[in-house]
Amino acid sequence: MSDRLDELGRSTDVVLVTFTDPNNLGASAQANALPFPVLADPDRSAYRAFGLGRGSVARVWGWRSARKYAELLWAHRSSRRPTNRPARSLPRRRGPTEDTLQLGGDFVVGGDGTLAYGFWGDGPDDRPTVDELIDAVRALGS
Amino acid sequence: MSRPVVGEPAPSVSLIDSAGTPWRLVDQHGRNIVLIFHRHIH
Repeated sequence: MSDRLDELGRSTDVVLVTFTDPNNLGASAQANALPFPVLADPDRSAYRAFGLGRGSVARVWGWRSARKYAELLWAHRSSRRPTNRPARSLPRRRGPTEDTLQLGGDFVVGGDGTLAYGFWGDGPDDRPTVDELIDAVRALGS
Repeated sequence: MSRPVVGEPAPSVSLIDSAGTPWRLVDQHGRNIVLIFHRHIH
């Protein structure tokens, strides 16, 4: 999404909603070099308002998530490997400090306040394509 | 947990930006907003 913002048009804003501590927002946005704002929902009231609950342990930590994590780790490892040196061990990662069962979603709200598009993920790797989101914005016709 | 219905008014939500300032969806009237709710793989 970050590299296709210009396809959304000038009258559209993108925001990332997270339930992290608001004090961590700046560092998170900077670390991920996001070109749009990161907003905090520490009590997850917005998550609930949009119907986003918690997934099951089996789904969230199941094989689909494991496969996605493996893909991400492999991509990270490949991107950092010097060409003339052997691969290092996988990056050390801290354990999760937030609710890993919280499900996410993606929504488009029109300028009149109407919910124009909704996607409720059933697991951490379940999300719409960027094309779907762009199409939903374009369907608003502005 | 009930879900909002596409085609009906979006839920009224208030969030907090990196400066600690409240960000309300209703205040964005006139602009299309794409909300991406974070999950742990992104």
